[in-house]
Amino acid sequence: MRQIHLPLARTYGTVTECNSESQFDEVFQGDIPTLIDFHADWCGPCKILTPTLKKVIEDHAKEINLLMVNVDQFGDIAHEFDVSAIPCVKLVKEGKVIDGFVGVRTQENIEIIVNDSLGDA
Amino acid sequence: MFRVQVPDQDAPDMERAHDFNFDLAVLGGGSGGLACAKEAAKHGAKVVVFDFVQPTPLKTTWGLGGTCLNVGCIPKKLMHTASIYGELAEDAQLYGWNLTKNSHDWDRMVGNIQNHIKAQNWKIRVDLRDKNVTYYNEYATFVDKHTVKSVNKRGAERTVTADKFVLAMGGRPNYPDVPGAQDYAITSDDIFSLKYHPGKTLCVGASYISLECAGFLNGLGIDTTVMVRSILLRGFDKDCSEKIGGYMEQCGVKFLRPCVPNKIECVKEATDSSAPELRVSFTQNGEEKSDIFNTVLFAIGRKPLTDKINPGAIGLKYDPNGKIPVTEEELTNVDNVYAIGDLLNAPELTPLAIQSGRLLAKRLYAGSKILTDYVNVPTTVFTPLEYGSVGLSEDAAIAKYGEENVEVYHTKHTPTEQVVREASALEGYNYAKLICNRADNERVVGLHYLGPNAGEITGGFGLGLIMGATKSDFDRLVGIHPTSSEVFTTMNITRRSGQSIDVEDC
Repeated sequence: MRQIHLPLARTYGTVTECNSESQFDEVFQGDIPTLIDFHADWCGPCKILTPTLKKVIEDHAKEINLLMVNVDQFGDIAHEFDVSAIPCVKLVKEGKVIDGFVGVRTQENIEIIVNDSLGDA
Repeated sequence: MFRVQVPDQDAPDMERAHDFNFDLAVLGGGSGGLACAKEAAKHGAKVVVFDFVQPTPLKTTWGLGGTCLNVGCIPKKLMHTASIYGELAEDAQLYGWNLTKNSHDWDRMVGNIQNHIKAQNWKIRVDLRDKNVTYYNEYATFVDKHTVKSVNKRGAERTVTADKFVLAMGGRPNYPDVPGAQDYAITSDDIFSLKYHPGKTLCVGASYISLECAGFLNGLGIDTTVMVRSILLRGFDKDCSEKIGGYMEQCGVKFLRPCVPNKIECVKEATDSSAPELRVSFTQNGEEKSDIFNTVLFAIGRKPLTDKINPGAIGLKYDPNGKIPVTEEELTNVDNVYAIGDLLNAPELTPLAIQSGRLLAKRLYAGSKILTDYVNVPTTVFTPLEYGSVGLSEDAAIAKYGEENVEVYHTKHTPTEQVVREASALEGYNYAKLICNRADNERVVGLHYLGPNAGEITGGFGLGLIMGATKSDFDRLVGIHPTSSEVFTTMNITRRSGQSIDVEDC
């Protein structure tokens, strides 16, 4: 059965759980900056960071999205992006990793990283 | 398709004397396979590991890391610890703690244990990548002595060639030829991640796996029965094995013996959150009987996965039970294929598999000549009464040296922490013995300990045996007081003397 991929709608502030490698590719190559949250069910700090990331997405003036990638399901992608310790967050756009961090951060801290990377205060 | 720039993994290497894809292909990502692969890569070999878990009839599956991490030593020790904590909570009252009598939450225990295991699955994947070992989550079978074909869970196939192979697939639990066994029963592959409380449980088998599982289940407050065909812990010291069984009975484990199962029928199906109701028909002492259980766990033996890798394609010689005969260098009859770990006729122990995997890799890729020593490997059975041993059993020593040459020093003992307990039938089971060869300066050829912390104690004393300690060396050692380990430094009653070994207060 031929899979038809519709382009992602231009909505911002979305939180999506990655469900396929092709979905990941579209987000990675797309022009909307996206925070990729590499996480796992067994990871305590991940459970602390993810709600903070969601708040960043909600509150942020800039147009960014959040894509959550479970490393147990998408181990190959995690390895390609050199993820070892988690939670690991990568800010991506148009096929490039712009910035990232590992471990739990505060909302303020994450916003500083995002703002610096996307070029405006 | 690579999204991120990665180095070309197929770049030709001028030093290689072959043009296969890899120097070494390891079949099986367990304790032995991973240790071998990482050591080989450390010495410059280009290595690939194939690991794939065929789901159980219950559809249980697990990640990279092999039996020990996922469905063996690790979760076993953690569940054993959980049950010991229950015991210690009782003792704590005697030490003045006011603890409310708590019940045990099966789901919470399984959740925490599985989280640990999954974190380790991930760490192992990262570690392989960091050490430049290629990993395929694929089921590999031989095409010829330099080629395997592998399949992933989506059915995609790949062909890989290698100069040398190490077989490290280990084994899986056997199911008996009993109607209903595969449909309704579980094995150790399932118990450690069981999504519902096991309920009233029947453990079939007299193996250490059966007794360890029955032991911790009983310790967690579960109604537990063990069904045994004849003797307990075949292959282990008989005297110690019977003491283990006796202790378990005192703890409330029911034994059906001698007894064999005939049929398992389903009275009520399992749901996502509750165990089934199963009627088990069995023959006990010649009588046909039956009883209802929620969980039936078969632990009647394990079979190596040798016949699953298409061994005929390479003419691999192996025993009918799947074990692979190897030279002292772990070489099979195929001159570029080696085998390690549970595939061998050797103690099925993680540290032994790791040791042999590492030493094999060093011999292949680092010019080493060191062989693995399979003698005097310490082990511990984590039954409610823990049992640590290194060296020969009493019967094996008598068979090897003759009864007149075997001197057994033995004693009962009372673990200090337990002195606050009221006198009970449980006390008399704590025991220790040294088996010595009179014809060789009373060389200690076997050490056996029954009591708490058996693994911690036996591990250290193993060094004494591999260095050839004699009884007088043990006597020369001054013990630490008050501990259980000191019992080995003051043994003076022999079995031969017939003297009583009951503990007197000191």
